[in-house]
Amino acid sequence: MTGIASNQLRSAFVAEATAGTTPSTPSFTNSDVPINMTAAPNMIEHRSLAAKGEAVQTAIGGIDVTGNMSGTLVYGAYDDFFESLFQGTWTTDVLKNAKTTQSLTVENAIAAGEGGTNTMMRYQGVEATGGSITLTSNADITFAFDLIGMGSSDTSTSAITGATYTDQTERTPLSSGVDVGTIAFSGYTLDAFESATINFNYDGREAQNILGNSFTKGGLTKGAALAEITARVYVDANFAAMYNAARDTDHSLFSVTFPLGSVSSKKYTLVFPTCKFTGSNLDFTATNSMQDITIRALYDETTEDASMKLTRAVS
Amino acid sequence: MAMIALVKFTADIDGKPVVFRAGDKISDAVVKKLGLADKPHLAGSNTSKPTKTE
Repeated sequence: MTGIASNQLRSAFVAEATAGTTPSTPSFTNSDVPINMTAAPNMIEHRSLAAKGEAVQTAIGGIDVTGNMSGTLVYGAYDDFFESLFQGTWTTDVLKNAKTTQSLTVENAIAAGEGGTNTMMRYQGVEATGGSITLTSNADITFAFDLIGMGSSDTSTSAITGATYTDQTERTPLSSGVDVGTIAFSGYTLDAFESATINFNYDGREAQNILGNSFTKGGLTKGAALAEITARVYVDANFAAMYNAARDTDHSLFSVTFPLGSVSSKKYTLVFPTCKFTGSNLDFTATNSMQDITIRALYDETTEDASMKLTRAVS
Repeated sequence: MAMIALVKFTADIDGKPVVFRAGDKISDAVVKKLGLADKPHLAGSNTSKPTKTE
């Protein structure tokens, strides 16, 4: 029998109403990119003097579920994961980072060899605990999510009762050309960007191990969002203002806006309402003089009660 | 009550993968098994009328 190709994987996800519990008769969405999950046992090894100090038995202390997924950003395809990443809820197409749990069940299925039985691996309580969006000129807009889950199941050749699978409907890849609108740092005139990366970092977001259950975590700790934006900007007429601001501890708070997408009613707008520069170094090592901007998104206590705001279906 | 698939989707029926395409009629038994009454994005009511015979 021939071994199976990775491109024959079916990677599907469904949002959970209760963290760690797959909905009944789940309506899975097939992901166009693989959701790479691992369930790694933490092995406990028993060594014995009777065996001259060698190992004589093992046990499993617990199983850690982690994963990642990445690819080109597509309208709407990963909105459930963004909800999980932001620890928030889409409310009239606006998502702000918060402290709520939005988890998913991930099911990877692959035939056991060519012509073999379809075999499913399931992971429950999966959250995107970190991630990024990267804009690179002359390339695509890419996303990446780091995933952590609460639990996992043994393989199964039986579908969950009533499970249905629908392919993702949007397929158009977003480009860093036509699909990046006018990036704005309020109060600054910007020179041309070569690239930018938005890092959705969290502090303290981790699975909670619990006694008495080897294979299921108690949940995931709510993290503190510490988003960081990096940008590589061509040194041109306006570089000095940001250079000096990054050296001024009292420089004014400003907002950062990334319009993503070009199709009306499908576009995203990503806003960091309150930001400060944390770096603005000049780089003369390559052909072009470049300015490496680093920005920390701060919590906006005045208006948004959040540090990150993603709006979808923008007209 | 039988329903009509609104989009393409797949499901395991009696251990075998089955593809439903938009417009496919889905039997009452399968509707119940897949919980399609609670999945309006996948299937809708069968509104077709039987052909009249003279």
